[in-house]
Amino acid sequence: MPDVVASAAPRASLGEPLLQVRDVSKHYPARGDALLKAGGVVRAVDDVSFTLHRGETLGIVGESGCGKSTLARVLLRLVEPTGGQALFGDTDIFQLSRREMRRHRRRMQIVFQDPFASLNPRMTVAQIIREPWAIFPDALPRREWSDRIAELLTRVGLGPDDGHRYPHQFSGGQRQRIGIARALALNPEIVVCDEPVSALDVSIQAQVINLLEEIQEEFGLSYIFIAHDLSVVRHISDRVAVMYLGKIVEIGTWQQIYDHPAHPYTQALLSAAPAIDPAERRDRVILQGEVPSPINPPSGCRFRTRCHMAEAVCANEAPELSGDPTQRAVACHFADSDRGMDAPIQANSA
Amino acid sequence: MAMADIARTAAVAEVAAPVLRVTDLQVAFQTPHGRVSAVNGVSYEIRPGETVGILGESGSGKSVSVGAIMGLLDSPPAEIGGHVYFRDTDLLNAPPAETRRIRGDRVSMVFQDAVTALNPGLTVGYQISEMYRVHRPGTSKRDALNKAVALMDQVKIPSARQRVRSYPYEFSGGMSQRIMIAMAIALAPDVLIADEPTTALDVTVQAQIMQLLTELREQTGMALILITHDIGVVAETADRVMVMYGGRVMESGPTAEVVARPAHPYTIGLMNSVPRAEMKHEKLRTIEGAPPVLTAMPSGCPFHPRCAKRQPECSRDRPSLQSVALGRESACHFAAEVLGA
Ligand SMILES: Nc1ncnc2c1ncn2[C@@H]1O[C@H](COP(=O)(O)OP(=O)(O)OP(=O)(O)O)[C@@H](O)[C@H]1O
Ligand code: SF4
Ligand SMILES: [Mg+2]
Repeated sequence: MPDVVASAAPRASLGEPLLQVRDVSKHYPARGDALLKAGGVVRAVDDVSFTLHRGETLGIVGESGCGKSTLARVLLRLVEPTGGQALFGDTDIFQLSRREMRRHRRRMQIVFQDPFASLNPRMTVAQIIREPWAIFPDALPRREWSDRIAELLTRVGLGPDDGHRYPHQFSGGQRQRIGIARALALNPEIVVCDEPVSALDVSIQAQVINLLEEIQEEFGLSYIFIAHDLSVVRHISDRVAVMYLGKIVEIGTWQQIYDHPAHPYTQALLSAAPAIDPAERRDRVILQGEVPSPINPPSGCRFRTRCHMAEAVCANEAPELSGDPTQRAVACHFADSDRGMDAPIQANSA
Repeated sequence: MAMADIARTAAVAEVAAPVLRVTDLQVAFQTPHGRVSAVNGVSYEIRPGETVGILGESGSGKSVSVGAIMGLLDSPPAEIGGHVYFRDTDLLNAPPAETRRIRGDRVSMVFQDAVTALNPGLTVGYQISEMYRVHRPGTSKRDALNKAVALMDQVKIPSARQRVRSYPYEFSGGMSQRIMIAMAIALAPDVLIADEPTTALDVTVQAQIMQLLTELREQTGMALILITHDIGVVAETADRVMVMYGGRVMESGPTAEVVARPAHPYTIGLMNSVPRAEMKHEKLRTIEGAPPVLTAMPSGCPFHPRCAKRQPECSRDRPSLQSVALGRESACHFAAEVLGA
């Protein structure tokens, strides 16, 4: 098998740090009487740290309930964090007042998963796109609005006159394009994409992925790209963080994560993804059981209840995300051992 | 696979008669916008122990086509034509007394959304054992419950004996799907139809469920019809695949051959839409436009507005499904060329 990975040129070195996320947590009071009385909390996001560099795409993968979407919402302060810092330059986003936060939103936008629910059905597409300009009068002079709307619509692959129509008159893929045009309206620096293609048909997914890549280059955007589809994340990301039960268990470049996964959860996750090409199939690790509740997560390492490598230490001590979170880091007590770790993928060819 | 196994598989495939034969299945709906055709001329057969995958994007007619087999479509508005033979009985034309003995019994089904398919007010044990009380009158309550426990064991639900009295809300999505599978295999069906059985599940749970379905098929020799929009799932599980678009079959054949050398431009486009490792630094080669809506089905080849290979005749003449190689068919005017390319 040709070594396709090695021949693919990795992207030039990382840009300057743009967003530094430090020990961010979001805990919700647990629902249900008994748990509430016991003071139970849902640790949706627990001490998450990473750095997003200018111009890069940081992919975040994990299964449902691992905290990906909560993390996205916390970073935009659509929900308030329980703790931690998010430094955009010298500013901690979490310390901004309501008013300051509104100004800050110009620099950070979000594209949601559900193109149906995320657009106001009573507004025309033009109204949806220009809404932020009304909030920020200095963003764009009013006389330029209609030209800019036509320009944005064309850029995302819609017709320049589509501004007169309503969201329900568009297909799912087209609605996602409207959501992208809206996110671009204020020239943001960071766009958080929360499962932007998972509601779309395969053929439409590919169109939207291409569009996101094109506008990233054109507008100099940095992406936090959240998705559960591993092949989509590999395609679009420069670096990838893997989450499990509210924590990042491993972070690294896409090559490190996909070609040399070091955390047993990353290894199992990658091996579970069905592949079209027999050469891309990995030896499948079938995990036992399912993700435990985030209300009383397992002591020590949260993955230990399903981990084939777990030992006594795993129940007693939570492994730290070793190393520098701008570089490769792994939260496993045995990440450096040679017990099957850091093994290149086994293509079960022949 | 050892040589002996290959020989045996081939022999079984030749000898065993198809357990289900679908010929020229048609489904149309009467709607306020007129009559629309959702499934058009679908034909296939499946033998014991075989897995046939039905692959397509949303609205391509996958669910409607199996809904017709299972008698799940209300008519009106549905108008159903063609034949679905289970052994010698035509499920679409036999008297209801006869089809009732087959549907849900010899041919059973699991759905995408297990959590809503289960009745929240009844214990899972009751719901599984109901299969016996309804289809096998005379089974004692106790017997039925014991069988429910055995089935829960078989689909690998831990502590089955205790959990048989639990209610659906006490189960996760993956566990609920196991319960649905337990119900579907309770009467040892000859054919199991699974309509997107893992689409609502996480990838590690999907791997567990697909492994379970494969094991059950191997143990029981039932035939499996697997509906999915995920080419990877089809590629790993199905012996043969049928690619649907706009209610029609675009191509069919042994899965390994179809994914290695597709014979239809739509299949090629679909495969190119899934990002692979070696395309990391390239733009994805996409299919332009969007799948058709039933009320505005294109003339000629239903795929022609989006096809990179289309020629003038493609919008005029509808290509019929033609044999392009042993066991392979494609509905494209240029199928031979596409396959050769
Ligand atoms: N009762 C009905 N009346 C009118 N049209 C219908 C009816 N039921 C289904 N359809 C239409 O039939 C077409 C085929 O639908 P079907 O559910 O089989 O698609 P599918 O391939 O299963 O898609 P998905 O991947 O989204 O499940 C769709 O356009 C659908 O809207
Ligand atoms: S018949 Fe024509 S339009 Fe249809 S798939 Fe073949 S080349 Fe494309
Ligand atoms: Mg369906």
